[in-house]
Amino acid sequence: MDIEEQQVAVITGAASGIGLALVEVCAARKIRFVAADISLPRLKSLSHDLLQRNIDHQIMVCDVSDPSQVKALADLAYSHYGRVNLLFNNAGIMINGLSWECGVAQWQTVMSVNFMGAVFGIHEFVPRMLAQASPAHIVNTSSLAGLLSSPMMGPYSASKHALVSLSETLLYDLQSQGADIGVSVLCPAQVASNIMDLIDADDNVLHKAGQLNDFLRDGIRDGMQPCDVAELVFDAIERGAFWIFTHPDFKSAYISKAQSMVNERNPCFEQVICD
Amino acid sequence: MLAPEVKALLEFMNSQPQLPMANVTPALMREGAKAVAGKVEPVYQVVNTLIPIVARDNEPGRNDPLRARIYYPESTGENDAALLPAVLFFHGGGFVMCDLDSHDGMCRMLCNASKAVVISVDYRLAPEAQFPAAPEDAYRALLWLQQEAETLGIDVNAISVCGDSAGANLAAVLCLLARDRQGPLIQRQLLMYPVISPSCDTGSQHKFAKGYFLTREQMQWFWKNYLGTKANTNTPYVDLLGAEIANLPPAVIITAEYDPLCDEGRFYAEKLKAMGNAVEYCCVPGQIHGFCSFSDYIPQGREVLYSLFKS
Repeated sequence: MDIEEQQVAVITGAASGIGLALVEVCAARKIRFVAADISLPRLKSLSHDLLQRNIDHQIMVCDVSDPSQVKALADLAYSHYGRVNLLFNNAGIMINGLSWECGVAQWQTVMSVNFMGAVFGIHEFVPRMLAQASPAHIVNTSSLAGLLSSPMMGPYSASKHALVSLSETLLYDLQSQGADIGVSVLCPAQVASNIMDLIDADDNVLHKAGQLNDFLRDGIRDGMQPCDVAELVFDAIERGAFWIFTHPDFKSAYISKAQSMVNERNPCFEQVICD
Repeated sequence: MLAPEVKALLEFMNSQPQLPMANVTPALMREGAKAVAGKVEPVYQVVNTLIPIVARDNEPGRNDPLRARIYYPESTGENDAALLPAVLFFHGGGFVMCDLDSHDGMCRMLCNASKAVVISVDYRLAPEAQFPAAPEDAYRALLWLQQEAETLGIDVNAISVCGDSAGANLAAVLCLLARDRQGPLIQRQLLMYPVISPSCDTGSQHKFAKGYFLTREQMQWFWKNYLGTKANTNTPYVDLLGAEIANLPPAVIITAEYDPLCDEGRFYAEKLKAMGNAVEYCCVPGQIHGFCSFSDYIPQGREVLYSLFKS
C-alpha cells in the first residue's frame, strides 16, 4: 500500500515499545492516528508530547482483551476520522513459566491480550475497511516466538504462534474476496521495549522463570531499537510484504525445526542467539 | 423580553418545517441533534476511555462498558502533579438523543471555565434502554470516578456533578442515589435548565409550550420514551418534585426565562432550599432552553457557564 499524508492509523499498545515507535513514524509521515493503550498515565504523557508538536491524534484507554473496548476504539476512529488505513494490532504482554505452573488465569490473560485482541481488531475493523473507499493494511505484532518454541514460554509462544496463523488466514481470506487490504505479520526477536517491566510488576510468582527472564531482559535491553523496527514495518507495508523479520539469522533454526517435522525427528530445543 | 440574538435564532428555527410529534421517531430526533463540525475550543488534553463497571438495572446494555471522554483543562500542564477537581457531566437531549460528540464543545467550555477535569458520560439512551438505565449509568460513572481518581489525577473530595436539561435531571438524581446508597461524596450539583418532573404541567410549560425551541409536546414525548410503560415511575428518582430532598450537595441551578422547564427548575431550587440545602438559583432573563449549546449565536451561554464556577 502507498503510504500518504493524512491517512489514518490505529495503534494498540501505542504508549510504549514498538507501538510508541509506530506512533513516531506516523507523526513523522503526517499520518493521523488513534493511539490506544491500557495505561492512562502513559497515554497522557504521550499525548502531552504530541500536542506540543501539533500532531493530529486521538488517545483512548483500551484493553484489547475486551471486545466491547475494541469496538469502542473502532467507533472512535471511524467517527473521528471516517476511515482507517493502517491497523496495528500491536498490544502484547509476556508471562513466562513452566506450562503447568502458569495459572489458568495467566494463560487466559496472555491469550486474550496477544491473540484475541488481534481477533477483535480484525472483527471490528475489517468490515469497516471493506466498506471504505481507501485502501488498508493490517499489521499484527507477533514474535520470533510465534515461529519457534522455547521452554518456559508456553503462553507467550502459543499466543504468538496463533497470531502468525491468524495473519496467514486473514491474508488468504482477504485475497479470496479481492479486498484492497494488505496483511503483514511482524516477528521481531529482541527489541528494546518495556515488555519485561510488566513481568516484574505482575508475575514474580513464577520464580522458576527468573533465569529465563533475566536472559530475556539482557537480550531485550541490548535489542534492536523500536524506531528501527517501525521503519522496517512501514517499508514492508509499502512493499506489500507479509513477513517482517528483524533478525533474519533465526532462519537456520526454523529450517532445522521444519526438517525435524519433515524427517519425523523429535524436536530438540536450541537457543537462538540473534545479533 | 427575548434577547435579540435569541429572537433571530427562534425565527429561523420556527421557519423550519416541523414534523408532527406523532410522526417523530428517536432516529429522526437523533439525526437532527448530530454534532456539526466547527471550530473546536482547545483544552489541554482529551482522553477517551471506558467505564467497565456493570450497571445495577436490568435494561439492555447493562454489562457493556460505558464510554466516557475526559477533558483536562489548559491549566493542567502548569502543575502536572497536583490533583484537580472534577466535574462529572451528563449531556442533555431528552434522555433520547445526543452523545459525547454533540456536547463536545460544551464540555470543552466547561473544562476551561471550571479549571477542572470534565468527564462526559455516554449513558444509555431511551427508548432502547429506559429508566432506570440512565441514572444507573450515572451512578456507575460516579463509582468509577471515585475508584480511579488517583490515576486520573483527580481530587476525590472535589467531585461535582453537572448536566444540561435531561442531563441535569441525571445529575440531580445521581445526588439522591449517592445519598441513599451511601455512595461517593459529591461536592456540588450544577444543574443547567434541568428536567425535573414528568407532569409537564407548570405555568411555564403552558406559557412557553410552543415556539421557544423546546416544546411541551416534545418534553412529554421525551418522558414517554424515557419511562416507557413498564417502569415504576412513582419513585423519587423520576419525579424530583415528589422526592425527599434533604441532605443533598450544594446546588447551583440555572433556568432560562423563556423555557417550558423554567418553573420546574425554580420549584426544585425553592424546595431544595426549604429542605435546608445550600442553593444558588439564577433565572437568566431573555433566554431559551438549551441556550448554552448555542454559544456560536448566543454569547451569553459562555458567560453563564463561566459564572457557574465563580462563586
